[in-house]
Amino acid sequence: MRKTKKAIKFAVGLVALSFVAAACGGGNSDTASSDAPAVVTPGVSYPTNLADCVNVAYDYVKPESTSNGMTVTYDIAPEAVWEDGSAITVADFKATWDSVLNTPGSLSTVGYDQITAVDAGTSDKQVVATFKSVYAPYKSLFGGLIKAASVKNTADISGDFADFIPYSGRPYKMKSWSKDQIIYVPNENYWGTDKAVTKKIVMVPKADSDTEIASLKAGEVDFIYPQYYGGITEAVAQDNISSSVQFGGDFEGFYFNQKCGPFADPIFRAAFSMSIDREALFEQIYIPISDQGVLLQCGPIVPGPNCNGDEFAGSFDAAGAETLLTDNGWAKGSDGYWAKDGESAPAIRWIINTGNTRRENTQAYLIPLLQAAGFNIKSDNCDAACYFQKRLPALDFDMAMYISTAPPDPGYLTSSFVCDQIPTAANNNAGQNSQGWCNAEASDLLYAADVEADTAVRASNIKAVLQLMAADHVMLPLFQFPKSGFWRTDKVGGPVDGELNNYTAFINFNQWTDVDGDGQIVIGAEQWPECLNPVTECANSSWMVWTTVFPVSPGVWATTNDGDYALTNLVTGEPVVTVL
Amino acid sequence: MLRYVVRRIAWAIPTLLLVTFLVYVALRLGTNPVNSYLRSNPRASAEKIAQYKELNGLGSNYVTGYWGWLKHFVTLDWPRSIKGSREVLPALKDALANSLRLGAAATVVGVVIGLGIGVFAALRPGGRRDVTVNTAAFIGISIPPYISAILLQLLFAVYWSRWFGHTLFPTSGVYPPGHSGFNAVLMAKHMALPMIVVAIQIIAVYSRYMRSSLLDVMNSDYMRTARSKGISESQILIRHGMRNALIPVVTIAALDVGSIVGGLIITENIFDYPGMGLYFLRAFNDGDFPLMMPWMVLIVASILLFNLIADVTYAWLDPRIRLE
Amino acid sequence: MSDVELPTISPRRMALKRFVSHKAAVASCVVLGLFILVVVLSPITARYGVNQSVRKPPNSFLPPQKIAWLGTDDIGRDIYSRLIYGIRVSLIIGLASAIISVAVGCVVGAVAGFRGGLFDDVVMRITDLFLAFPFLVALLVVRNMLGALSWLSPIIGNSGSIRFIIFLLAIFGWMGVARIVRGQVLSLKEREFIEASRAVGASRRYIILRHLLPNSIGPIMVALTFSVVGAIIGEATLSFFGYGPQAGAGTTSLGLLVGAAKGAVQTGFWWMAVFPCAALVIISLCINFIGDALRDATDPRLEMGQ
Repeated sequence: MRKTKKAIKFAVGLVALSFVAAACGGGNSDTASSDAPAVVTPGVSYPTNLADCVNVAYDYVKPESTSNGMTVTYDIAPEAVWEDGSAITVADFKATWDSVLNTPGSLSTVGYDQITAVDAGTSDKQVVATFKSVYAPYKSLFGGLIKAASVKNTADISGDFADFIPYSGRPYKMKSWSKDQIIYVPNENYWGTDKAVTKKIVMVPKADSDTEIASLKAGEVDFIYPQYYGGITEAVAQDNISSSVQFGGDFEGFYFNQKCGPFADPIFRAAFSMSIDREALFEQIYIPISDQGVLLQCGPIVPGPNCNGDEFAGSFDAAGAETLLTDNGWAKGSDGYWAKDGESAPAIRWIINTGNTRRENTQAYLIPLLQAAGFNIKSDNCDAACYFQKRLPALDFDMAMYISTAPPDPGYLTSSFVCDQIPTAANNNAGQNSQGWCNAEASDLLYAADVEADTAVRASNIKAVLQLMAADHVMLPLFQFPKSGFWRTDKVGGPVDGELNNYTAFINFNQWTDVDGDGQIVIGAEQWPECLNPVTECANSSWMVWTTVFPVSPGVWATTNDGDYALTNLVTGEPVVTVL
Repeated sequence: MLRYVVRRIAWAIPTLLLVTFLVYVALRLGTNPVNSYLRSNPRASAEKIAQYKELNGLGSNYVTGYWGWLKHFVTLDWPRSIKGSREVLPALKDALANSLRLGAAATVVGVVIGLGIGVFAALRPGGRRDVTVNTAAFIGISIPPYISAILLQLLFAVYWSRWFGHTLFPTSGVYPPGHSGFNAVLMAKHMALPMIVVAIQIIAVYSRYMRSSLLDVMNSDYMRTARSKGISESQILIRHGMRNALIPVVTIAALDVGSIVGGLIITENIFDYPGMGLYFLRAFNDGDFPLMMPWMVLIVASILLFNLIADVTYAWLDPRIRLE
Repeated sequence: MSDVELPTISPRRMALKRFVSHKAAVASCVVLGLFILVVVLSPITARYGVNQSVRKPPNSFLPPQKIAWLGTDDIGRDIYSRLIYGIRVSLIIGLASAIISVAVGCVVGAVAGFRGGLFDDVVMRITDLFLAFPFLVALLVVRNMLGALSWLSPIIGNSGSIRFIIFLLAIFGWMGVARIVRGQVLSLKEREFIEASRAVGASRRYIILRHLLPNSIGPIMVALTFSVVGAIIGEATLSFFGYGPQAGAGTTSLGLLVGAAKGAVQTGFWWMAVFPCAALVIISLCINFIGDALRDATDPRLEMGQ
């Protein structure tokens, strides 16, 4: 009897424990915040922790647009048709604009939100797009058309294209898509001269680099496009495998959060940035990956017309850092770390995504050096989903390290570096400036560049912004990533290495030849899309667009291998831009 | 016998409910399904969020939430996955079919070979072949499956194709790229390497169990009686020894469903084989609650089912148990 | 027939003799002892720091040579030194979690076995189910759950720390130990000396602590041994999937080094794969041999039979 009672008490306790555990989990404690947001002015105290972040606001006002707008007129080629023979018309341009702008869950409306109307010109083969102001990056728009007839409601296509894209305006069309493979067959109605050479293209997912390399060596796939890492050339070394390495638009860098935390103090941030020897880091971490690499000096942009190539050069100055700190009241405490006015040394949290060997190695190499230099820096890592979707957007870090992809047009800099794109209460915490950098002059320059039609003036604007970034120690550029393709010479031939550097990646596979005669070319993919919707969340992945959207969607401008834009055969000539 | 079975089934159902409730709590705490959903669908309307919460039983109270989830689960009204908004049931069915094939083949091959080796070693205990078998089994247990998987992959896929010009066993997937439809030979070829890796683990474990179990039996009193009666050694082995030696082995075999699934996770990861293991890993890494719950229920149900089968088989093999 | 004085031999000496007769186990003890010695003397035996490169670049992927006995890894760190630090961390994790497992498991198993009844039933069902669950799945799910309970982190550390891994592995380890101890207690429960103790009026706690547990030392030691190797392999598996101790934290573990071996196989940099994998296999092999020999040495049936 006593035993039963005690056992029941035990069982109840166990169940109660699970409830207690459940109840205690979750909910963060809310810190009491002050009522009025504190406007940050330099020289005063800096918000040092995440709770203070909520109260920070900026008094920057976006400059009023003085232009009356512009129109862009596109003349669609008369022979341009979809895969079923129906003509490509203004309706498709309109559908594209409508769906990107209005679909709930649309990834980004940047650019299309500048268009007020898309109408037919002299016929439905002529499109007139009206912009509310001069929009310089207009070439990045309408690069992937959506076929109007394939969706019921162009204002909401979030339910469409879950597992298939039925249309095509390019050499191949999709025959089938499953979570194990995509099959492409030639699009008979394609009007261009670069018709599909090989009768079947198959793409298959490969779990990781080891699997795809093993598959390539075993001949199960014919071509792979892996992310470069140290040792990859040795791993793939085999007589019948050829490779090509080019330097593309991906670059890696350090980013400092200056909205709140220890780096809100510009002196401390500057000293920290000056204490990092990028050259030595580059030699230890990146040269083993690719000995042809060169340290990036441009900033958050790859070398090109918009960068001089020396903006961030000479960022390392250890002695200067020490002088800067001691001149401003900092001194090394008994623990060896810099502290101000007898307070404790600020703790710096460096976040990366777990499982990334290169970044973990960078931490292992750099943290001891920085600690020796007097900075209390610790690693604070979490997995990829937590990193990219939670911590970075919430500015819950002090120093981050990630790769960005630079599209050919520098318009992407605007949303990432202007004052009013810093997530604050004012914009519902929905901004993309996760560095928290607010420099009024730079923001004005960036906004001006967006509405500047003259490319030379634009370029000088961008260069000025980059110099301001370097002076403010916003970030530290590191490495322009190699884009590499590896393929079996006995299985696939033709211009395989022709477009590996392209933003649209190996897009010329319609010209590849099938050498071994098995009637197909097999391409290995490192990531696999969850759905094929070109405007919502699934399209946030490079591999998704490379394998599904880019091969079938026609566009006005295509990116080139040199990082520029070129007209396609969709239009008869250069679209006419009229400034109103 | 029937009463015994009915009693065991009656115990199994409340156990299933309790365990799935605990799993539900653990997954809700660990993966935060509401946050995962909001991250993937940052502009979802309040209505869609409410619908998602209702389908997944994510109310603030854990017990009523579980109850709500259970109702949708048993009526097969399953919510779609967070990532990619995909139907769960077809994906789960595919993964299950693939893993069943792999697991069954590996278990059959592994158990048969393992038992055979165990008998082989037990016939001459302490001798040279016993020691060799023992050491080999030890090494088999001590090498983590991912190491043996990689080495096999390297040997059979990469080096073989270099020496002989074609691959003997492919390194990944269920079918070669570009293939559609059913083909038993290709399927078997793709399954060969992962099956070998899982089977190695099983052989290592079962050969030792069988050996020790058989040794115990061979030295017991009733065997001595049989020998003194003049029955030949092989007759003794087959008629008396095996049946009794199988009892503890069967018990272990049934309870091992869990360890087979665990082994499958690593193997399927390395060989990119789209079974239950890979399904779980991907769902877990994405924090995809709607994908994980049905998987968990399936696993728990299988474990309870196999426990039941083991108990019943045990009772059938050893009449003393039935009379409990 | 003369009066011959047969030398009596205590059960403990007998067990030791049986253990020593297992040549493989003795060799394992020696090898393991060697490993532990090298690891304990790491300030002397390790040649470089855990994140220190052997020389200025180029220093990556150097084959075994004078400045790096076992070669270097992708950023020029000495694999020999890192192996020493890694084995130290893994052994600490293995021992610490095994000790906790055994401590908790002994108590729960002894109480369950001795008292029987509903408590025993419930505990056994729970452990049965947990043990039947795929280990990796349970490990990952519990890891996430523990990591999400913020009030727990001051006690057990955050989810990348060594403390957390020890705690996590101990949660799974105690169940196997509890079952073994329970089985042992069940068989001892009906013996005369226990009956006598009960008749004399000894309390349950006294009987458990002074009679049952000391007489179960054999199986407990076996359970301890297998807990250690289970924890070491568990940590290696977690690290393989990226859920082990975080690399950026300035330490390394055997599991992390073995995990890095996966990428090294295809490249031909065999030293990155061979040495960590060999170390893991040798250590787990040795501990397995020792545990097996212990089990044979302390087997009560053999005690009575011979």
